[in-house]
Amino acid sequence: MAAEALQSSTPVVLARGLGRRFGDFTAVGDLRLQVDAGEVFGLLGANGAGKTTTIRMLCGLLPPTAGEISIDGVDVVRHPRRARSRLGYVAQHFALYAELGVRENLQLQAGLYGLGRGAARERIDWALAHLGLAGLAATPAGTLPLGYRRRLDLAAALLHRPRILFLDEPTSGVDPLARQEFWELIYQLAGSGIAILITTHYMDEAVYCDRLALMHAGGVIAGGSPEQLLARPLPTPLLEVRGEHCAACARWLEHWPEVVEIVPHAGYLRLRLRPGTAPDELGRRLRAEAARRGQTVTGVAPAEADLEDVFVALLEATGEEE
Amino acid sequence: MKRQRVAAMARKEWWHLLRDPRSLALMLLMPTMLLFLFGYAIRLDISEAPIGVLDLSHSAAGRELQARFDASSAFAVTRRFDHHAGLRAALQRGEIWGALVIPADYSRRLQQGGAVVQLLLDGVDANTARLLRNYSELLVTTLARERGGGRPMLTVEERVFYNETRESRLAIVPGVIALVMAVIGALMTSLTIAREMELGNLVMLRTTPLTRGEFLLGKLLPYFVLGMLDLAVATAAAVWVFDVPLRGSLPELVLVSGLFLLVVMLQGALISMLAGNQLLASQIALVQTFLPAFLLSGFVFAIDNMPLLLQYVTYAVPARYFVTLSKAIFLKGLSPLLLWGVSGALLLMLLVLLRLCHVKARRLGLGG
Repeated sequence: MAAEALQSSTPVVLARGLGRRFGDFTAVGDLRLQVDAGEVFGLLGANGAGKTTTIRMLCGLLPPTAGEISIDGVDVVRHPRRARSRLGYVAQHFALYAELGVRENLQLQAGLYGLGRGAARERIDWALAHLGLAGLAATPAGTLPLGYRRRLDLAAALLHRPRILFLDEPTSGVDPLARQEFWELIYQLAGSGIAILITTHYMDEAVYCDRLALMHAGGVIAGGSPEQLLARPLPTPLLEVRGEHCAACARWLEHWPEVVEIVPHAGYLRLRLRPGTAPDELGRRLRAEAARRGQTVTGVAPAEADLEDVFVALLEATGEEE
Repeated sequence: MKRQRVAAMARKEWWHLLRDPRSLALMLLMPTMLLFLFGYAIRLDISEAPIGVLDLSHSAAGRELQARFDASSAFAVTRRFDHHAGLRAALQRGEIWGALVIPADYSRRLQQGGAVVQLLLDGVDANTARLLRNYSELLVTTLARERGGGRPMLTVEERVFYNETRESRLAIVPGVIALVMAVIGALMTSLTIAREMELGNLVMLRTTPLTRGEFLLGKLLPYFVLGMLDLAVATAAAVWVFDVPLRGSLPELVLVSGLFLLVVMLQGALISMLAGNQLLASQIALVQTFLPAFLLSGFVFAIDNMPLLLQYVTYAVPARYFVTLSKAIFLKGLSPLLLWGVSGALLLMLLVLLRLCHVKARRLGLGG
């Protein structure tokens, strides 16, 4: 009983002091990361922040220059092949064989993971049924639509019952509906106890994750659940401006020193203000200026922050420190 | 080394082959095509051809004849024998290309005006044998004319071993087999890993527990099977269509061919990994294996007639060893164990290439 409890509390992925240098360039430095069973963990950051380097190290594809990684208790650096049988990895670009059929690709994967004939057939049938590929078994992988190719990637990575799935930008380029379906699959998998580490640059997908880590310049600058991150006080206040002449307003607003950024939306503008600006006072001045110019502003109100605002603020704060 | 993983790789490679009927057809038809193309071939010239002398006359006249041969730029007397057995053995091993036998009554009959010398030729290379005969005849007739003022009192009686009818195709066919296997082996395998690097499949393979040994074995297995099938086709065509005698043992031929095929396949695999893309890989493979197998293996052009520098280069050409061995097996019925230096060179190449491929596969990030 005690041993079992201990087992389930062991994180599936645990990385400590993880670092990777390429010559003088530090791609990733002193990273700590933990993913538990059944958890969807999101790794966010701009291109070049170190996401892919991190994921490659975690999968044993790239040896780290510092730190240690364990996957399901197996030391990845010392026993990369043993660790590989416990993880599934889906690369950013389609890496299966385009001219082979869906089932053939899966047969290859099953063989590569050393599955016997019976086990392979059982797992392939499971994957085809579970990932909605049943009718496509004979279709060459290269002719599948991108969304289905992503499902095949998932199926291939799941045959050997990994404890963790690493997904590198799995939804990039996929249409919104297929993205939605993909996330539903991810939730199902997490529900069955598989840990999932996913990288994405779609900020709207960040809310789907149980926990997040925001990477910048090779390090994690903030982490936690989406709720925790949203609850952080934002140093830069936000203001929403509604009205008929938004575009005209934006033209003179961009010269105001308090306004850091204007994001135009359909029917309204979102303003990010300089830290320390009082939004109410600025709102009054804005209405007055609009009235003077004969432009209609129907509403000015403090806006609710979303994750993107939080990340932008965090990145800006980091940039200023540097 | 796990059976399932090797089998999975090999099966996948086989599927690729079956999906590509053009290269499959090429692989299966090329041996017969080339056999017909090279049914007839050319030989250019000889210089300093090693010959042996068996002088039974022990006379001044006999020594003069020997000196004539040695002084000519076409011949070099490299061995002197005192009995037939040694001469035959040297001829069989290829140490000498021909031999001059001066009969015991040579001096006496020369005085009488009707001397005959015997020329023994290694007919394995029909063109070389023909050239040797022509040069000897020229030498002997010149000598006879000098002595007898135009009256032919010296004639050459020739005896050709191993390829009695001196047909070129008998010697060409084993060479074509080497060429075919070099093409199938290196050209095809040079594409296979490069394609995986090009299309990004290697990234996926690297995240599986597949080891580099399993990877290489699984990849090369289908090509090995096809290559051996080609050998069977070529051998059958050689024996039944071109009437080339298979004097040696078939198992030994299969063994030596398998060894050679492995060497060229590993060459192809190494090129594939070094090049990283299919276009470059196929170009390197063509220059590195097909052309040397064609030009530097002794298949069309005799190695001993090449410039010295080029002769050294041929030692690095696996086809050179295979051509020697397959000709020996086909035409002389010689065991490759007897030519242990040649077989050993091929084996050494295999081991070196195996090591290089293994190291290179690790650099590509494959485990194990």
